[in-house]
Amino acid sequence: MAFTCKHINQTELQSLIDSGEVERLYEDSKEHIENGNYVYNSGSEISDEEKLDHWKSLMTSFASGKVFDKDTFTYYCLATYKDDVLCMMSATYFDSADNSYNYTHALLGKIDGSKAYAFSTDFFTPQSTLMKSVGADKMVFYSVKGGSLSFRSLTAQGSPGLFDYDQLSQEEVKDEYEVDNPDIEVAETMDGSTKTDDAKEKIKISREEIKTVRILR
Amino acid sequence: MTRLAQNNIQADGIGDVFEDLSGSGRNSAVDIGTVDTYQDRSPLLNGSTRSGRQPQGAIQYNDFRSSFAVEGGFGTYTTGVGKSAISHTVTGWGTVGGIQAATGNQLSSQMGTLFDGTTTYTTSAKPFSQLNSGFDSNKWLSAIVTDSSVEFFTNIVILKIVFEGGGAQTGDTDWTTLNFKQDGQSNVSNVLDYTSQGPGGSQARTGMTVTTVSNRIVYTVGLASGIGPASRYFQSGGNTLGYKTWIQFV
Repeated sequence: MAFTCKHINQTELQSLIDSGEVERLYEDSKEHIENGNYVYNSGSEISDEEKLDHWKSLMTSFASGKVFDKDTFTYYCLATYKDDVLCMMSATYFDSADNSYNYTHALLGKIDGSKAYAFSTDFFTPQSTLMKSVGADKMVFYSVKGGSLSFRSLTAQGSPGLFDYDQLSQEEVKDEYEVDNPDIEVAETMDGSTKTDDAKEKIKISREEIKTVRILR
Repeated sequence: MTRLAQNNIQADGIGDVFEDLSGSGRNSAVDIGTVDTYQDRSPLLNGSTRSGRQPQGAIQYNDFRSSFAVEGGFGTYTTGVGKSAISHTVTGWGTVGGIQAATGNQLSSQMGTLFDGTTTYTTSAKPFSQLNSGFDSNKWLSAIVTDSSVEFFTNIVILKIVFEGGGAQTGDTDWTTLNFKQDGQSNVSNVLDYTSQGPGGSQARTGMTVTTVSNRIVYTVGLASGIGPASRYFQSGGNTLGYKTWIQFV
């Protein structure tokens, strides 16, 4: 019973999408997603296929670094395996402003019909090592207010050797801010002609979620 | 190897653009009246758009005019990192500059291929007047993509058509409508039967918003049906999945 984890690139993620592994995690996670732990749950008009596409798109954006938010963020798609079988995929980012490693979205698969492994020290040990390797001194977990994962992230304290639970904190965060569109070198037109661009709107970011901080030992 | 413009439509061009899904050759002649391949793929069928597989029936050479084929690629980007993050999937064909303009500079990678019977376009834009001698000169087609995202409990699909060059202006009236039809190779399931369910449709220029982005002219419209002239066309598990798309500007 050995857990491993790594940051995967877009090509590696695409292989997992094409082989159906991401869909398997989605199917195993769907009940929790739809049960108050994500924003598109009950009453949604989108189809199950569109929901799966949303998760694929989200993970692909993080794997390719095509996420637009604060300049201090570095984006990853984190794949965790048990005995070389994919069991969790997370959209994460490292924030150099406070040296935090942040889990924003995750798909968690079942092992032998259970997700109990996700509370074990064995599960978190390689993730702790990876978080520290990018410079993190704390793990931050984001969840939906009122969702069961917000409760569990506060009360599950089964790895005291990895996390300093005496400094565990949880708060509700509400934030709205704007970031600039990416400043890139625009490709030349076929005849070299130029035009005056219409004014670009800034990207509006809205966050409203539960933030749980665990200090890494 | 022949392009399809508005006049002098040749069987060779129809065969080059419409006959072969894998791009590995074609028959020496076309029989558009009895070979249902053409009925399934022409942007118009006897002058009208339609979806799905068609029985043999009336069809005209004119249904294939001013057309080309697209094998769509895709890219993704996300704005925000929180639970309200909005992820976009961009699908279709575009040059680097075309994709930059279509996505407001969020993506900078070429995607997909466009084949017009003579040339396969990837990094270069396609001269628009090749489709119709009445279309503006010094004007190139740079991208045709859809941008899909889940926002506020709804799946939103936006069509973007991008032009570039000194002859491309926001007030252009040279083209009036984009028609399209899709067809694929694989029957994965009843839901994903790419061989018989290929959608078709049209989009009028006058229903679109026109802006200038990244030195290019961008036409934009939200697709209420969620179906547009773009599909990812890709290999997976030994199958070719998704739809190839045939597009016509009139």
